Amino acid sequence: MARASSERRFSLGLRWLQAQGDAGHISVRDWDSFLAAAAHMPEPSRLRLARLLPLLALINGPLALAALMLWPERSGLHLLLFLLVFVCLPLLVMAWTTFSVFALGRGPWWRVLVSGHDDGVIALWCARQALLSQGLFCISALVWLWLTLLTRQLIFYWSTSVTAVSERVAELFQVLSIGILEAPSPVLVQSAEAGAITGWQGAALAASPFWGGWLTAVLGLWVLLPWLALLVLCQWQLSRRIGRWPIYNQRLRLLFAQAREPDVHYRALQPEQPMVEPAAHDFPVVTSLAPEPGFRWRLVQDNAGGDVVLGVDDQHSDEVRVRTAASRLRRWYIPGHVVPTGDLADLLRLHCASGGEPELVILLSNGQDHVERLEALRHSWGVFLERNDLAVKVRLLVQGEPGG
Amino acid sequence: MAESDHPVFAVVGHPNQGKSSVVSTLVQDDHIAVSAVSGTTRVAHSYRLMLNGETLYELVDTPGFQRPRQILAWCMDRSEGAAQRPGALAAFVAQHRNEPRFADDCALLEPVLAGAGVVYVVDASQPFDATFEAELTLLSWTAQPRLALLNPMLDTTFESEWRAALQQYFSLVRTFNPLLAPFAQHLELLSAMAEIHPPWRGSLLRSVNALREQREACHQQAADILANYLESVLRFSIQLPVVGSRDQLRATGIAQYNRELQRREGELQSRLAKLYGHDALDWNSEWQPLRTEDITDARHWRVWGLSRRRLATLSAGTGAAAGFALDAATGGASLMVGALIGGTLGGLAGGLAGRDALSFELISRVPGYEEWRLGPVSSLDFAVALTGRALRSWYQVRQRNHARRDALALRPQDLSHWLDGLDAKQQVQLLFWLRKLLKRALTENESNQLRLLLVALGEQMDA
Repeated sequence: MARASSERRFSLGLRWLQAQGDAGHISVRDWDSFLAAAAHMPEPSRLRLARLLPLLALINGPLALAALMLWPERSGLHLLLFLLVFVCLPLLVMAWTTFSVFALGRGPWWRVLVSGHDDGVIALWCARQALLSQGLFCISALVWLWLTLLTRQLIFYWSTSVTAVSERVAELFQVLSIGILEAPSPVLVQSAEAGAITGWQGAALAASPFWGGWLTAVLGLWVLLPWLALLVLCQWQLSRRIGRWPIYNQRLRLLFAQAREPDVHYRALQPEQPMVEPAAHDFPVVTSLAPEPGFRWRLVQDNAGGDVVLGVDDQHSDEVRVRTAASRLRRWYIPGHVVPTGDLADLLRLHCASGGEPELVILLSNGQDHVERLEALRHSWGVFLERNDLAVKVRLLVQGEPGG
Repeated sequence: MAESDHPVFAVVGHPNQGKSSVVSTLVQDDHIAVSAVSGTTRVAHSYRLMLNGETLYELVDTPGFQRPRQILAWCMDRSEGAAQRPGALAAFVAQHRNEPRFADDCALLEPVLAGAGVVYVVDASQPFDATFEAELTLLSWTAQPRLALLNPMLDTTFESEWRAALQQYFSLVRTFNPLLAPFAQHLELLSAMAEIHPPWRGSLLRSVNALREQREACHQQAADILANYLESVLRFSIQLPVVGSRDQLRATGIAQYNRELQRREGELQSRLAKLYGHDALDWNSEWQPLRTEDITDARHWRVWGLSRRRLATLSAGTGAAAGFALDAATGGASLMVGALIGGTLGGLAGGLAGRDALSFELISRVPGYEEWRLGPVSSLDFAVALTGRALRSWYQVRQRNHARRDALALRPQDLSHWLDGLDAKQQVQLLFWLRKLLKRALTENESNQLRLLLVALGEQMDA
């Protein structure tokens, strides 16, 4: 999928910034997808207005030029004022805009009108917009100048009565020409002949296209070339920064992190096993039992006479022992910590099949008789009997010793 | 069955030894069925660690052994030497796969026979006995890479006994408590798994790195969420049109303010929980009363902040630092008066701060349109307390393992000025940013600095 333009991506980013709530409802793979997810959100109206700024500059250029043609005298275009308005000021403003955005991280003053958020991307977009406006202001003025030159009579002038000033201006023109351009030779009009209807206007009019050409070249060299370079720099930086916008803006960082599919994650290959609450089993808890020999499952110590120890040898030997003692022994003594398994179930089933009526006595040592532990034991033994289809009596003996 | 192209580990053992807990903690998933009731897991469940679509390793949670002695006897009858044992085991599984009696055992052995490494889990608080011998013998017959984990479910009474027994069957024996092991230990366990079979080493070490980076990113994001939360609650205010007396108005406003603070705190907690993958976290036991109490009441919030003396000391420190900067600017001509005055004022401000948690002022005096504003937070003490609660929530989700199913608890030490225990330099920095937040919203750059401080505080939580 082709990446959207910087302008579009900037607009999508601002939409996220003005959006209410979080981004937990979407899932995206990367930053571009995240931006694309804002396509359905309304574009901020203030952004639309800010986009019109260069258009305003495009209109302002001819207006400014027309004003210069009317002021200070309605007799032509004052060269020094032209240079001030269309070379000096734009150059200063452009230099300051670029310096403040790259060195100070600040956008133009009207940045607050575009967005309440202040970050490196929004500031840069506003700076670029300011630069664009500044350049278009000069270009439109230049176009208007040439239209005027082609369709109307326009002379370029400046006036002084001091020779030294005249020399300084001539030097200024040389400086502006920087040895590349050639400034036309001025048509000197003495104050005495300025009011006369002699042929000096004709000479001045004839020189106008040359002055227009020189001014265009000066503007191009001093303003438009740097402007173009700065604009390209801003555009390149803007494009880069938009690609890393979350670094510059905390809210975007949070929103993107919420929506982003993690690069690293565990994937369950099977659906989760639902937690089934086991049925309640109310096996009685007793504190003493009359002594009686029995099978002792995994209980080697403290054997009384007549007891049969199981679970410490192989299953076949245990089966032989159970068959032999099935009619004699009833109880199965099992330590509380022992988890019932299928081996035990098979032996119990064998005991039943051999004519016995097994009864399980779960021995709880001290510390095992608290309520949660008892509940877990009841559930465990209940589940064990159900799964193995055994109908056996179970008792939990607290104190841990048979007959104790 | 063909071997996988990525490492696979089957977590096996006797029933109710904490196998599912180990898996739940390692895969950071609190949906895995874990219970004190034995035999909770009935079928094998596999979890793959994915990195940009690539499987790094796979963990299989299995049911516990049910009839290991019978399986062992069956296999011994059909194998004459060591070379035939794995084949006999495979034949047993092939023959009994559909038999309900051996369903659990087959589900356990199948992944191992298919090439998975073995992670054998035992409860180190129970004694070792001969029943486990059959399980260990069967696992040794699989000839797969093996690692044993001692899980001290209640205590470590029999750990040495178990270790002595297990070392005969396993090249590596580790102690790992899935409920309490910090994240660093999870990674250590994965690194240990990487050591038992050299061909799997690369993939497992990549897993360790990827998980470490993911964890770091998670902490960064949590710090962002916290910075955002602090800014939003400390700058929060409500406007109240005049209805009734000033005191009535204040009481109504505080109730409204409390509800909003509690809502935001709840939102913070659920966002943090979600970030760390805790979907089923129970905040409703000990945290619940805290949500219904009057947060702005000093009797309730003071326990969350810094002690008054500590606050005064630190405030003096921040004031002196600011004053010292002035002294430095004058080239020492001020004879350190700046630091002295700054320290005194800071100390006084810290010591006397917090008489009123919130500002309450009349913002419109136009007759008929009088309006009061409650908030933002005006007391540094209260700001510290709100921060303490937020950091405590972060600590709880950050430290909690996914195998735990109990409700979040607040221990007495949680409530006794736990912020006091933080590094002094970080306390001063925290106060500096909180003071700033009490005055105005932070710039993007300042928010970043606050985030970095919170990340550092988080690291201290892990230490």
